[in-house]
Amino acid sequence: MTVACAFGLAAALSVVVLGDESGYLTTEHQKMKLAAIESMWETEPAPASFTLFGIPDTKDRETHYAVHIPWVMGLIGTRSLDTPIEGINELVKSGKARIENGILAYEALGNIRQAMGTGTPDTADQATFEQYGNDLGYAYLLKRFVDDPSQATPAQIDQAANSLIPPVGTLFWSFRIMVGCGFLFIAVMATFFYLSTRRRLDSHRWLLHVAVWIIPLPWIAAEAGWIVAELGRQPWIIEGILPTALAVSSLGAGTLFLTITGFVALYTVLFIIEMGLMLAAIRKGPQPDNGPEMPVLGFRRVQGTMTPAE
Amino acid sequence: MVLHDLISYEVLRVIWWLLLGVLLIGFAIMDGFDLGTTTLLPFVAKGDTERRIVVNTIGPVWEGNQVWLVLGGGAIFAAWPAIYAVSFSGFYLAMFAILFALILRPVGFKYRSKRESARWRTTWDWMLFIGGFVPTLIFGVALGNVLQGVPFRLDDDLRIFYDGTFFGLLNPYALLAGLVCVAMLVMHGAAYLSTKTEGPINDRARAYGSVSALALIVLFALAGVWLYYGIDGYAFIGPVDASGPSNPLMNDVAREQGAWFVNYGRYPWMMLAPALGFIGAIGAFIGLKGSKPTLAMLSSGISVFGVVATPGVAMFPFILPSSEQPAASLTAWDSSSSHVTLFIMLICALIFVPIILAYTSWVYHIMWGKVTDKDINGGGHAY
Repeated sequence: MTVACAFGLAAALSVVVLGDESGYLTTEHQKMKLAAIESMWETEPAPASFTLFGIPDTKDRETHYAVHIPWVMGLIGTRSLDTPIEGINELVKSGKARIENGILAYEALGNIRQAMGTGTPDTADQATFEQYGNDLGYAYLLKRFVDDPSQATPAQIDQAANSLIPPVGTLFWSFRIMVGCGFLFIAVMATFFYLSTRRRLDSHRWLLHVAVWIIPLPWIAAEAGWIVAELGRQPWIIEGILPTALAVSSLGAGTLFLTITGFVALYTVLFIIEMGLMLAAIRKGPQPDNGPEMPVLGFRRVQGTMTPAE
Repeated sequence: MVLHDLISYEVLRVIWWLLLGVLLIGFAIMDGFDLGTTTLLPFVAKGDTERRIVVNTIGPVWEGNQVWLVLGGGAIFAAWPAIYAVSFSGFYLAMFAILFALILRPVGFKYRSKRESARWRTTWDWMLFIGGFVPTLIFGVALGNVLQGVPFRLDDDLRIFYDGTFFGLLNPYALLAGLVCVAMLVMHGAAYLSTKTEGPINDRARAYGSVSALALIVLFALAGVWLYYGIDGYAFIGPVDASGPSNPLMNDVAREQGAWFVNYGRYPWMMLAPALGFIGAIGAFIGLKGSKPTLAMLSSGISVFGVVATPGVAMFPFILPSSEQPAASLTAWDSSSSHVTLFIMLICALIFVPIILAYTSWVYHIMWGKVTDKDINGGGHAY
């Protein structure tokens, strides 16, 4: 049990380290995800504060009843005191500029393709593509709203720019559920590790109840983290390059419905069978352990416990 | 990064085409015999002890064998992304059926012995049968469809549109290819059982296996004749740029009768593949009839190698031809990932494939010998 708790504690602690690292990388590669997780609408002067609690309002673009902890976000996100973290509104504005540049690249690419059939492409088109090619993915964001991005109206460009904002409220809360669970695991594992090394695991009945009731939490934390990771990257499947709407396969809804129904049905049946087998095993109880108890760590060695079995 | 220039893009593409073949053949040989064994399970074993003997011949190894499937899928994903995209969305429902059936395998092995009830155990035996038979049939059907071309097209942005249906996959030629695959793996599973079992199970396995070996010879030959006379192959007519960008729309491709047999004339050594398919099956038949398990197992493995390699080399450089838009056909020259990616993956493969081979050999070394009644009912950890 001590070994299990030690591993639990070590794993819970390493999740924090890994989480911090991926948060730092998010600042570098997926700025919108980070801003949405923080429900940070406006760019704050560095170092930004961390919003412990609040109610994101996507319509008015603000966060009500926010409780801030100064400096923390800037430190986690940039590991510095002077690098600002961009807010959602600013990211939409710079995204709009990239969409406009992307349209130029899209038009140039179209011209080059046409010219490839007949002869050599125009050098002006090639120069335009060289200059704005990095923003081509942003032009494809328009495909959701208009068939030919080069014909987009200003309203459609605004629409595409606003589509850069993922669902802020969902991300804000999923992230807090995930992190909350993470810190709870550290507390629980540390407590049980201490009690187990002292051979006092059974001294607090309510704690054992807690241990059983939190069994689903790692799963919930993982799902919440999955939502943060995948919903937070929308509308991109590859940030800045390929929008999700263009990357999906051409399979129909009926086909997808069929397979998801099939998998849910199969796994439900297997789950019921598994539960039946597990309950039968629990009813049988554990194998009796007749060996002498190991001494508490760091105390005298009881004679006879260390002799190897024949 | 200049290191990847050590090997040219063209050579790397050929290496990864070969590796794709190695992984798929590795899967067919290694996982093939346990798919064949579970297909045979309800027929070669009567009564619970016999069934458990059969289950335990593959119990310790089937999971390791499935690594070849995972590795094959992973290699297609990383080295041939366009082929991965077209085949996994195009054959979506077929893939679903394969996965569904394969999921029944681990639970079948693990749950079967958890309860004493005869009905419980018989049910899981049939689940294991489905887990062996269905994927085998579908793998063959898929290959049969690839030879005919798959109804997909690409738009200007290289987005994929698949216009076929699941039932369209079940056409007569594809079903014949499916039967070739079933006969091949039943023969292979029977050869494995002949090395791992004794008494009545061994006798029945050899009887089923020798019939399957004969069926394989007939069906494999039939599939070849039908392919030559009845199905147009694919041929490049446009310029071939073996080191060009991976853009499948830059080819010109024609459909011609007998085009799938051109490679055999151009590179006669390729005829080794179908030859080994036949010779191996004959060897397996002799080994099974004459109770020579080592001969049966070796020949059967050689036959699987030959049968799977035959369509592979015949189609080169095509990997996934399109029946709807032949120009969009995916080939070794235009559907790989980048030069650097192929190089890095080759280094990884050179490190990890030997490790897999080493631990696999070690497992078989440990598990060498026959599984008997004593192993099953003498306590311990048998399924």
